[in-house]
Amino acid sequence: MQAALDIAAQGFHAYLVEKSPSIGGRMAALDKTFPTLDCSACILTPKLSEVSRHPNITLYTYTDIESVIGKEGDFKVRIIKRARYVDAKKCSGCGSCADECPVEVPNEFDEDLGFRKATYMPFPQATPNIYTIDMNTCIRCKRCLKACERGAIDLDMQDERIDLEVGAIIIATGYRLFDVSAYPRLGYSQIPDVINAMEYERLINAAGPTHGHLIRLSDGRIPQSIGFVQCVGARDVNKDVPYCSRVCCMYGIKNAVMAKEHHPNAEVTVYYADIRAFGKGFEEFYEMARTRFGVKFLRGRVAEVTRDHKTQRLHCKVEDTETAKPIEAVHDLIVLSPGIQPPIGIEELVRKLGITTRNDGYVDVSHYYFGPVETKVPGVFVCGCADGPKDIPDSVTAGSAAAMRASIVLARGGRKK
Amino acid sequence: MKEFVLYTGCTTPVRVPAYEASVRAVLEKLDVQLIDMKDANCCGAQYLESVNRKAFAAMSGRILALAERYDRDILAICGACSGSLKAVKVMLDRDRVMRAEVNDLLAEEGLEYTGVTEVKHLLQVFHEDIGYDAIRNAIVKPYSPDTRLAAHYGCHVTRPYDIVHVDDPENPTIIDKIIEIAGATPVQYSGKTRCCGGPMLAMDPHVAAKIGLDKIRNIRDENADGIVTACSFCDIQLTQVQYEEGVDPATRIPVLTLPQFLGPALGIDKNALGIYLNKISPDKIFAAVSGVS
Repeated sequence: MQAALDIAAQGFHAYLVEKSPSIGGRMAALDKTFPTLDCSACILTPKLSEVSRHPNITLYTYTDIESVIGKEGDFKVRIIKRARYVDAKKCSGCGSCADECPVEVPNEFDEDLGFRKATYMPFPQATPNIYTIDMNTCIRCKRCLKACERGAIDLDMQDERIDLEVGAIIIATGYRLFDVSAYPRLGYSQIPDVINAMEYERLINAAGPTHGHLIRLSDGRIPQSIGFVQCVGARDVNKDVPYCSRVCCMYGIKNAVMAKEHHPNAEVTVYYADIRAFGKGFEEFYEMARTRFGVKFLRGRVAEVTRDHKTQRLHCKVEDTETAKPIEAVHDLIVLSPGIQPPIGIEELVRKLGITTRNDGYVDVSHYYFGPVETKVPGVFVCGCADGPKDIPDSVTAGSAAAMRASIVLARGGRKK
Repeated sequence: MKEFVLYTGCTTPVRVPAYEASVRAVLEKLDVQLIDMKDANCCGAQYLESVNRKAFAAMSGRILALAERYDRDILAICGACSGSLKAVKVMLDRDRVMRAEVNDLLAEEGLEYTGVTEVKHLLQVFHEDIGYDAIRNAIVKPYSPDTRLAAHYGCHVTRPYDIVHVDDPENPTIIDKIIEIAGATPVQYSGKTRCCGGPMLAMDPHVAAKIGLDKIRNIRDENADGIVTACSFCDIQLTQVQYEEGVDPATRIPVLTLPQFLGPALGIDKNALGIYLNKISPDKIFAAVSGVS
């Protein structure tokens, strides 16, 4: 998004191709951001509208890349605009279709905690502000056809192939969260009150499935004691994730602070390997979590989480590595902070673009020090988490950097479109 | 037809002969032929292993060398045995000096370890050699889904993965899958992959009992009708621990080895599986299999 805005601001034209129905990515689903505790949606949505209104940006959402040919300055990209069964020009995003739709399915935007209809908009500020019909679950009852006053619904819509001619390509595909059920001993997917950090984000989000009430999923009670387990699926060679996720320390601290904001009397403990508060304002934020909010930090990687059948509370076995003593702490809710991994489908995209990934699965860059946003194919650039874990400010920096590199190609006479 | 040379180890024939008998009966039914290893010795697991590495390598090495005479891979049914044999195999394959020293000792008997035989635990034979489809096709008297069973895999059966290559040590599934194929319901419980406490018996029976009873309590919490094991030591420990002081006899949960559980579903007679030797009667579980008395 930042890359598209920067390119467009220079007078070049940018096509923004997005797989899901809306731009915004992960940030749209987050509640607050570290280290300022800004509301994520509040700082993101102005950017969304800027992108959607910019005359030099053409937005293709719900769209996949089919093929890429050509070379620097002259690429031909064929995209498949998947049928959303709603005419983008006619839809006003009023939601009458969703009110009428009888099909309820788990809402992936809420990490499957809440429900959405078969005709849906992922979140209220979705950009473009139009509905999409999920044909995998639609029963073709056609009630939405009657409900839509503008006649925007077209259940016979077909996928559309579009050829774009561009001078440069920027990859900004984001990341996927590590699947924490790969650690069965931590109880995720077996114990309902062991959740991952993304589910927690949705729980504390006012627009989320509980309208921002932080509760236990098993019985709806307010947790009096919450444990955050850091480094789940990060810095672990046994799980093929030897690298640091760069964000889980800080979002973990942020989540712990938010737990105190929601339930000031709750006991909140963060179990960490070590705190990597390296960015601007991060160390101060960590300090504030400890001193002002009273979050307890315990150094040790959690061994096992079990549930007591009588009390329904969670027992967390961990070694306090500062005193070398094994302890068993009791919590009502445990939030696992997953590391991050290359996005799903990156292998296919990489193949189509003729670029490479490193053995950790992230897009390889042309030079470790001096080519951080260039791939090994001239004219193809990368930013965000596609080439390695990044937080929001770093992703924005990389987006601008990639835009700069790409616009050099364009300024030299690469396709102006 | 698959053939293996069966290494029973010492504990199984002496303390859980029913396990050995049921392995034979079930594998025969599933077209796996077993050849008895004659003149075998103890694998040297744990106790000797912790005292003298070379003596341990020689003991398990002798068994590996004996198997070469039969020109078959080894089937080990006890977790400790399969763990030791696999660990020593890796040791002898990597450490040339150790291999030469062990072979010097074995030469007295005219034996030599060359590394051609593989070692498999019973779970691998079920999973890799027989396969779930063949087991499913052989089921004639399925259990009822109301029968809830807890799988206990045993530490040395699945760990360390890089040496034993049996199942995911953190999330093992083979026993659960077989429980499901036989018609019953596998139950998940806290601390599923934890130790049974058995190896601690010689050092601290109190700690061993505590670990074992903790496991039993977790299994009881899930209302399981029985426990299915794949290791002789685990089977003994999880049974014995339920006779500790303070355990209500009415709450005892029957412990079955995997072939004892699978046998009745394959139509094998209970007596051939040595069920009458099980200390805690599993009759309640078998009542759910139609036609088994």
